[in-house]
Amino acid sequence: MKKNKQEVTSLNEGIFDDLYLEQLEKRLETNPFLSNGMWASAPEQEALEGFTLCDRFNINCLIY
Amino acid sequence: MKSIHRLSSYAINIALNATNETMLIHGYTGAIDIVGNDLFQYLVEHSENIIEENFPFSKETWKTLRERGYLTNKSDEEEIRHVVKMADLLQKREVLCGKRYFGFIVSYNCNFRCPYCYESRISEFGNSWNKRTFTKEMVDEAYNAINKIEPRIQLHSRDLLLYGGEPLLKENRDVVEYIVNKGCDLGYHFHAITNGYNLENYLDLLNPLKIAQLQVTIDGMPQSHNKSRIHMEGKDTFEKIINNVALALQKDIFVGVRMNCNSSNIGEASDLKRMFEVMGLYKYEKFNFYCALTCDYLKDFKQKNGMANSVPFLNREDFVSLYKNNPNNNFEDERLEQKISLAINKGVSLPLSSTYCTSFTGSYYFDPFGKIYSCWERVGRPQFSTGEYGKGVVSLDARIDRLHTMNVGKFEKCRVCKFVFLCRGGCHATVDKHLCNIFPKLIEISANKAYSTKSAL
Repeated sequence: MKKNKQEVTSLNEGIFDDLYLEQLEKRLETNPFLSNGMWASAPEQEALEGFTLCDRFNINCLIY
Repeated sequence: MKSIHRLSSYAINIALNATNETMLIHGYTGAIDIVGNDLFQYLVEHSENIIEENFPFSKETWKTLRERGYLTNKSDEEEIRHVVKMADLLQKREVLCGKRYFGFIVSYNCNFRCPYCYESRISEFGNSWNKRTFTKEMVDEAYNAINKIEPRIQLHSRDLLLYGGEPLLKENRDVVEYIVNKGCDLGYHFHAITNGYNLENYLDLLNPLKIAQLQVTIDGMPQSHNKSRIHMEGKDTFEKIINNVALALQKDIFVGVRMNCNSSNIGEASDLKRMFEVMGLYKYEKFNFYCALTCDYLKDFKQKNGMANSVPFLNREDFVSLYKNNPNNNFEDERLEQKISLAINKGVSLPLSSTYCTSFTGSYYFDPFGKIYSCWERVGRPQFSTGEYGKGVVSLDARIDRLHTMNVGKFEKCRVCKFVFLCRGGCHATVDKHLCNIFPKLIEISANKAYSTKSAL
């Protein structure tokens, strides 16, 4: 968490900025298999593994 | 020369409860930041003409807002073009390198006659169920097809779906055992969408290495449930299903009980939860109970069946109100709370996507007729199949290529929306596009919940 004289507090990193997209575009053209760290596709999915089945299928649900 | 910027059209602002702060989320960079309301107010008041030299906040703040996308020197049209390009890249990333999801539509046959079932289209409300199931030969063909569709095993989701109709009918036992055992030998495990009525015939296949997860529907307390989860012979089904759920949990597998909510039964969710508590189901960590909003899939079809007309569907606005009034319950709100929590608790990327589901990136469900479907809500309707398999051959329809290039950037209404990569356009299989009206309220509730959890840590 980065504070910026308490005017802006950034809560996350790894944003999809122009540089990331530029690199992604190049890599997808030349080598579709990206090493860990270039994108979080598989890790994103793994991070989301704890989701319930309904999440998997993107259904709105209220969990009790 | 003055440095003139504008407030990005994709800056999402969320008022944080009981504070004088605003959460900013950027719709295409995925940045999440907290700013004081004074700063946010300034940005809004000068939104089209924010001049660095006149900016009353620090240089650092300017730099941060710029780097994270909130301040931009792109025009509105340039931002839209950027979103369209990004949408294509995000989808291409998943199509090329994301997981592939596979499953078996074991049979279109079903022993229930639920009035809201979207498969009533293909069964003509139960009057025309097709009883064909997989043969062992077709199972072998399907496994071969999986490897033909995607030879790179590392891209296979190891979790295969058992679907239907009703996959776990008593009469399907032999073929399901074959599917599961062969799949396990190949390194897969399974989850099943089942009504749970004949589950006692499958207990030996329920374990973390075989059928590791079930979704079972229970539509409220017994009276309500028995009115909508109707056995084809008219029998009540509640008690048998509940008992089977309890048996399944003893096998150390995940069991999600889903309640399809309508305006009549929604008030029974708490009662049902209490019943589950009394039964001891919550002592199992792998038990989960959730309420789902059922869409009216049969709007254009209901005149054919009086029972389908009788379902009192709950609209999404009411569902969101329910969420708001039950802040202590988890609400799977397009996964917003979980995504925002993930990003802010770990300080990582906010998961952004340009497609609503894996239909658009790589899912393949095999039916007993040799058809392949990408969307599990369109199974059994050959006009929506995306391929065929059998006799050692797999052919994928050109429709697959269209699906794999269809993303939110292609839709005019979506690409100009700041929620574009969080909403992802909604489900195309439902009759109505349903998220536009409720998404701002959803994200406000979910972002506040996520932030309050972080603040509590």
